[in-house]
Amino acid sequence: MSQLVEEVVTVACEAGESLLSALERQGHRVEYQCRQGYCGACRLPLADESQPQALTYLRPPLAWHEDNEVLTCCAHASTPVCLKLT
Amino acid sequence: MAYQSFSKTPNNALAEPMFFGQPVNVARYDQQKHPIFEQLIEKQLSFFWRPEEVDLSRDRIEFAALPAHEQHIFLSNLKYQILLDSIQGRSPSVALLPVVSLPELETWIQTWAFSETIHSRSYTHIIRNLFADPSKVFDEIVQNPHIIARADDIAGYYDALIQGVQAWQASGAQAASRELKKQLYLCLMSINALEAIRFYVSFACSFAFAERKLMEGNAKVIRLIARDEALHLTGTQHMLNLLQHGKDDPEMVEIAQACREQCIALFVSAAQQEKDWAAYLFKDGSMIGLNQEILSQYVEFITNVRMQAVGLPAPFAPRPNPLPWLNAWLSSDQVQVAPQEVEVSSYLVGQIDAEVSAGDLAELTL
Repeated sequence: MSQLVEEVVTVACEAGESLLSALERQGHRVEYQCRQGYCGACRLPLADESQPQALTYLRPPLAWHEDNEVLTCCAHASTPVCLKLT
Repeated sequence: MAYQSFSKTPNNALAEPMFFGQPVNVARYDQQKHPIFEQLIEKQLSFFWRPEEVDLSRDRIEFAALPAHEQHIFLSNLKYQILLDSIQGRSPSVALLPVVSLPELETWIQTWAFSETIHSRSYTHIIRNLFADPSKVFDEIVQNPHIIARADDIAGYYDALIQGVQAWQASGAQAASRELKKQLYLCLMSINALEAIRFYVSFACSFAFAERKLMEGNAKVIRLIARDEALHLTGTQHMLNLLQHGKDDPEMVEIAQACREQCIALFVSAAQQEKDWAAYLFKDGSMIGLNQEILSQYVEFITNVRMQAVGLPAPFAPRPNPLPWLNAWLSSDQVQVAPQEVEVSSYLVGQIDAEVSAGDLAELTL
């Protein structure tokens, strides 16, 4: 039941790896559906709003997301980023 | 303002709002005010499928062997899905097309509604396979008070907008009133609640059977439908967020703020209706993996997520997804429509690698 409280986690991606895959590799249970960036189920808030420059999208996402949010299924982080798991 | 099929007034669609501006005249897609709708069209086209591609022959045998209360769950759920897509195959075109002002949005609405008609055709395919006489199932839909109660709520926002637009068109007034724009905004919220909550409750029921290796042909069809619906709800989320964030019609920012409480009530009411529906579905007994309580918990979970995605507060206590196994069914990586698509389901888009680097020309001499 760890997801009931907000938890900030630091995630580091391997080469070509998505944030969602990195989170799963680290044992976090994260919501996902399409895994292609069009459904928005894997949307997560960034813990530190200064970090978006570390993020690139492996493929352009179609789902809506705010500037301080990331679609983890298709985003890659060049340096470790902090995400809020809710 | 009277609707015109092709206005002869020169029109720069890049300067128009999504709705209630100049009517679209030239259908051009080389430039877009909101490129997301062009991208959604391309994605939806790449998803094209036909119900007949899915073999349902085993489902007939399995359905006959289901206990009576599970047949009730399966059929009631299917009838509800038929209602939802009957509305969605028709109403976005009737309600939204007369007031749309951007060519890419106009075509997105048409592409979206067309895919809903494929969903409706697939329900006929499913029912034809299950029953010698499909009419019994179809005729019962409008006789079932539990289904009709929800039809009123879903269609009500569409009908209010359609009637409001017809009165505006007949009046000859140029600009749409604030009240009419509010009706559009509420209608978009209602559509989003339908696509983002109501459909997903029905998907949970369909996939609960398939988790037990039952009615798997049906689940294959629903998986294709769910893939389309994810795209449709993304479309309405974009429309609502563009309006709220002042990236389109500035008056809509004020309207969104003014009717925020109404939108919250709309979603909460839809969630309650889905919980009531769960009570009706499981009135004669539960099934392994799904019962009234778990489905109601899922309604609360999905309502929280969907409301936050359109800028509304989560009304229920935060909880983890009570049906985590659903995600695997909703993952498009596992949607298989044809053997050649095993690896990538969206192979129609981006199939040619157009990247050329300077190194590729290294051996070229003149």
